[in-house]
Amino acid sequence: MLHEFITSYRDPIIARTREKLTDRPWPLASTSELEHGVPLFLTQLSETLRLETTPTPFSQKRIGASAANHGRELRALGFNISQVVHDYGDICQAITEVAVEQHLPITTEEFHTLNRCLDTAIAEAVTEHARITAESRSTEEIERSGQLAHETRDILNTALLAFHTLKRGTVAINGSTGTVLGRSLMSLRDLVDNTLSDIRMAANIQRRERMPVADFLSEIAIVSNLHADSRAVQLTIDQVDPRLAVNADPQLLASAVTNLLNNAFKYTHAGGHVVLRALHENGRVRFEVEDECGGIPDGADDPFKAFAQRRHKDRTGLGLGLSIARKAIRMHGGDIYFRNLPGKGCVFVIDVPLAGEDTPVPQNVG
Amino acid sequence: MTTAKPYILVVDDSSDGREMLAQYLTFRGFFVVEAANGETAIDLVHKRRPAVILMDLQMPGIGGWDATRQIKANPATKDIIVIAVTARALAPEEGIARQAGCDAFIAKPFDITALGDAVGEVLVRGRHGLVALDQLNQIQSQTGNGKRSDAT
Repeated sequence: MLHEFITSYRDPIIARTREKLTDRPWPLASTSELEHGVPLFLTQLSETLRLETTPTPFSQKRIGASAANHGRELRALGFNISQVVHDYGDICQAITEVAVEQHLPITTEEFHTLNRCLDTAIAEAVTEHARITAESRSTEEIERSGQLAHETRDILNTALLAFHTLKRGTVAINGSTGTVLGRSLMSLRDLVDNTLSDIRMAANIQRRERMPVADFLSEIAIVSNLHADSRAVQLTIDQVDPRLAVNADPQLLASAVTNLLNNAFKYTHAGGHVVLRALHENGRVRFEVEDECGGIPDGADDPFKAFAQRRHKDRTGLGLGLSIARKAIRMHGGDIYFRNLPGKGCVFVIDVPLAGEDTPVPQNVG
Repeated sequence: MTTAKPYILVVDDSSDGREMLAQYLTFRGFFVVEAANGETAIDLVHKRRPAVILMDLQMPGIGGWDATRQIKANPATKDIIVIAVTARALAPEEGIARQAGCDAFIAKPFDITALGDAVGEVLVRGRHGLVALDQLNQIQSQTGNGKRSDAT
C-alpha cells in the first residue's frame, strides 16, 4: 500500500526531496521549506492515501488548508508561484523514485489518489499565494493613489490661490504670482505624465520607434525651457551627434528624461545651470543631466539615495518619479545611474542601447 | 499690555503654497508671518505669540502634528488656535490632527475667500469663531472642494 510505503520510507523520501530542492538551480529552496513543508505534506499525503482505503474517504479540505498555509509561508519568504509548484513536483518525483528503487508495486488507483492530492495541494497553495500577492499589490496601489491625490490637491490649491490673486487684477500675470501659477500647472502636468507612464507600463503598453536623439532633445527642450525659466535656472543642451538614435517609446523616454531635468531644476540654485547632453559609447547612449545642487554630502552613489537626500530639502513632488523613470528605462534595456560632483552638483545618467543595426554607429562620439 | 497687531502664522514647507496663502491674507488686511517648518514655527511662537496658526501637517523635520503637540503642551502657548491645513483629507487625518491638539481642520484645495472670512471670525471671536470653519468644511464636503471659489 502506498500510504504504508510513505510512512515506512518517510525519511528517505524526505531526504530525496531535500536533495532535489537543494540541487535545483532555480527556484532556490528555503530552509523553512526543507525543515517543515516537506514532512508536513508527506504526513498529510500518507493520511489521505490511508483513508482512501477506508469506507469514508478523506476530505480534500485538510490537505487543501495545509497547502494554503504552505503557499502563504512561501509568499512571506518572497517565493514566487513557480517555486510553490516546483516544491510539490519534487515531492512527487521523490516518492516515485524511492518506490521504484524499493521495487514497490504502486497500483493505478494509488497513483490517481497521489495525483489528486498533489493537484489539490498545488491549487490551494497557488491560490493562497496569488490571493496574498494581489492583496498586497492592492494595498500598495491604494497608498500610491492616496499620495497622488494628496500631491494633486496640494498643487491645485496653490494654483487656485495664484489664480484667485491674479483675478483680482492687482498683480501682473508676468510677475511672481504668474510664475507660481505656471510652476503649479507644470507640476500638475508632470504628475499626469508620471501617472500615465506608470499606467502604460503596468498595462504593458509600449510603442517603440526609432528616435533620432537630436530631434528628441529638441522636443524636450521646448517644454523644459519653460520649467527652467519658472525656477530661474538656465538649461543648456549640448550639441548632439545627428546620427545618434535609440529605439524607444517616446512618451516613456521623454517622461524619464523630463523627470531628471525637473529634479535638477528644483535643486539647482536660482541663476544656476543645468546641462542636458547625449553621448555615445560602446553601443549605448547616455543621456546626462548635470545640475548645480552643490553635490551630495556623503557621496552616495545610489540615485535613489541621492534623490532622497535632496528631497529632504524640498518635498514637493511625489518622490515616485525616479522609480517610475527607472522602471521605464529598464524596460528599454537600460538603467539610471548617478555621479556625485562634491561641492558642485549631481549628474543623473540614463543609459539605453543605441538603435539597432540598421542605424549607422557613429565613431568617436562622446 | 501689548498693542501689537495680532498676527497669523502660516506654516508650510511648500514655498509657493505658503507665499500664495500669506499674500492673500495680507491682501485681506491681516498681519501674516511665514514659517517653512515646524522648528521655525515653534521658535516664532515663543518669540511672539500669534493669534492663529495655519499649520500644514506633513513637513520634513518637525512636522505639523509634532509642532502642534509641542505648542499645546506648553502652558504659555496652549491657548493659541491652531488650524490644520492639509491636502490629506481622509477622516483619519482629521482625527490625528485633532488628537495632536489642532482646534480645526481645513482640507486643500479650499475656498480662499471663505477661509479668509473664517480666519477673520476667529480673530474677532476667538474660539467661538471656529464655527465658521466648521461651516466651511460642511460646505466643502457637500459641494466638493473649491466649488465656491467661482463665486468670489
